[in-house]
Amino acid sequence: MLWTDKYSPKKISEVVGNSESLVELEEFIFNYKAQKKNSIFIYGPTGSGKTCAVHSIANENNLEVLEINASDVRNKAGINEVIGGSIHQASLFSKGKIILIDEVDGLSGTKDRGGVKALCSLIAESSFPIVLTANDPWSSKLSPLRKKSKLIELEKLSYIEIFNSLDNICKLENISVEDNVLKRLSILSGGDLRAAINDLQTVSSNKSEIIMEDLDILGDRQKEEEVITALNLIFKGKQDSVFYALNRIDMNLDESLLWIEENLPQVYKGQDLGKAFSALSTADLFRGRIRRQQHWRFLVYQNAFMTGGVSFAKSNKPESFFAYKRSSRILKLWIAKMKYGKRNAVAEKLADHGHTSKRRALQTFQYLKTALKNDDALLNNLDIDRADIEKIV
Amino acid sequence: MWTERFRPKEFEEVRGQEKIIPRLKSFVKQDNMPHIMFTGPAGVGKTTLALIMAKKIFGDDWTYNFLELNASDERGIDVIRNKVKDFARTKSIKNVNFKIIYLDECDSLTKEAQQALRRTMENYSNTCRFILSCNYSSKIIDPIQSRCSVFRFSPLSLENVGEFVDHIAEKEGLKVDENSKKAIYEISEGDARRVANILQSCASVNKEITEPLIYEIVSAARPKEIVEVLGLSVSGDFIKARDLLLNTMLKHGLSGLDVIKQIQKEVVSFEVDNARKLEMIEKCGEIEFRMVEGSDEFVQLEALLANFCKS
Repeated sequence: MLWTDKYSPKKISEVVGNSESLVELEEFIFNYKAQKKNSIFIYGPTGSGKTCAVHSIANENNLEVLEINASDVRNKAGINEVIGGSIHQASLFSKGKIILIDEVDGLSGTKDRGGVKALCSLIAESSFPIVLTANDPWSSKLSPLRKKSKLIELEKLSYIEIFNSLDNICKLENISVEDNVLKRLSILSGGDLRAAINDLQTVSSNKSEIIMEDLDILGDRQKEEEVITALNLIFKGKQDSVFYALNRIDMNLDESLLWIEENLPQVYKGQDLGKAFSALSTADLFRGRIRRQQHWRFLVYQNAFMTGGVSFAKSNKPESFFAYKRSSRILKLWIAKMKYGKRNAVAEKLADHGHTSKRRALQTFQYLKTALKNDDALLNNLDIDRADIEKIV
Repeated sequence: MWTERFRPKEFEEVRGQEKIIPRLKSFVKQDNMPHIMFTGPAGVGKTTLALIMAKKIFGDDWTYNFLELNASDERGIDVIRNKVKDFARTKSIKNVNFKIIYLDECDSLTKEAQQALRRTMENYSNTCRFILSCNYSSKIIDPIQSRCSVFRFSPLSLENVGEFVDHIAEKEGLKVDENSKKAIYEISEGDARRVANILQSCASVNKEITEPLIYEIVSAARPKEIVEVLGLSVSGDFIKARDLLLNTMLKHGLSGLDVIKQIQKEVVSFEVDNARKLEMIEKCGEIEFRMVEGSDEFVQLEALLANFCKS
């Protein structure tokens, strides 16, 4: 049995992450009649729990789920055939029903012609809550649906949330595994819990122990080969096609940027390295603007500076073969966050005491730490444990 | 903590802001004030004066009528919509007919939060006045600035810092000579909070404060590794330089801006010819600017180090 099924949540409280949005969803389904809008539109990345949340609410409350997803024909006739009649009929065996239109961003322009329109009239007439899901709700073809629906976002799950879920499954399956291995798996999943659980099942393959080497068999290897090809194109070539180097790999630009950043200093030296990093810095500048202004058009420029910018920075072609490495920076950041949590706790106390922010208290801490080390009265006064200070100074 | 023990409690004890204080005092006298914005560097008395005003206006009940929020810790729109609004819409329980919300480090509020704040300031101006404080007024949207009377704080002078040091020395029984005062002034960059912290750290070692002691304390505050990072990157060992930088940042909890400020200081006294030195400083400025606009501080720092390499 697939673990993703075996351990799929039976209750909404078991769904991982995004608790606020999930409460909103529950609220919508229960108080459906009182809502201004007839449908709710859940969007978020793959494996963040969209479909899962709907099914678990249904399961917990004995509701029937009427689902059409991308595997069904979703033109006008198709939609009406599956759902059309039932929007007014009470369910035979359950208390009520939820109509789930999964993956609406997958509506095909030609094959599912009229689909959006059919859905809209369905929403207008339905006496049951309609839930739409999508990874990307912002395409213009979906705009009529967006207008008719309440939008909620499920965010990518954090490494820690994924880590905890995996850890839990390992305990239930009696698999012994080191934290490091699970951390690695959680990070590899890129916030997709379904993928993480599938990976875990793949590497465990009926063994009672998982070690780091087991992770090698994961499909990620194929992804890495693609990355290596792209990096070679950028680092070694200089042709115009380099601008498309990253389009061919199935990886988001942020992750590609980490790969380039990690391996660049192996290949480029001296002034070339300076120029190439300046290009990466410009790429990051555009990324910052995308984040802040949600101006996704800038992705084009981020991409151009990561590929062409880096590629054209070199004065001559590097000859030799390089063994590219995966970036370990994010992992290090994460470990440090765990390790130096104490420092944040101390900074919080300093901030409370000193009418200042935690951020500034951290800077203050640098100047005050000699006093904190030597002066017990001060520690008492701030209610800080000596042991905590010893650990961080 | 000495920053709190020696925080001025009267207008007269605040140093270096002689132009501002009379106007604040007149607000207190009238029991009325407009929305106010304090702008200026850290540690020059913005929070202190806000606290003094609140205590003078509300007397013993000041804590009920005064909300202090730190925008850099709580900078989302939710804080403005919830905490600030909840406090603002209830009436003051004193004969003064308004409450005060002190919003510190406003420059780290997001743009949306600032927009939300703007309406709140108008809608509740009957029951609530705002004192906003920030380092750079340019980061505050115009509609907010136009609703406030703006007070610009100046950094403390050598004389101001000297007086403050004398005051602490007298109360705590320290001995501080003139050269040490100068050193403290230079290191503190006119930030009174830092002055108090340096003194407290020094005093925990020795009541007699000397220049070498001060520099010892301060070097503990500024990790030596940064100089090493600088040396490695200039000599072209980029990979070692960035590994050391990352580990140092994680170990000491430094932000990208902390690091770049320190690198810039170290460059000034670094052994290179003058033209090159200027180039390096220019690069620092460029990268510091980009850091504010970009999203990954470390990539920006890497760009800086890579450009320090000579050959």
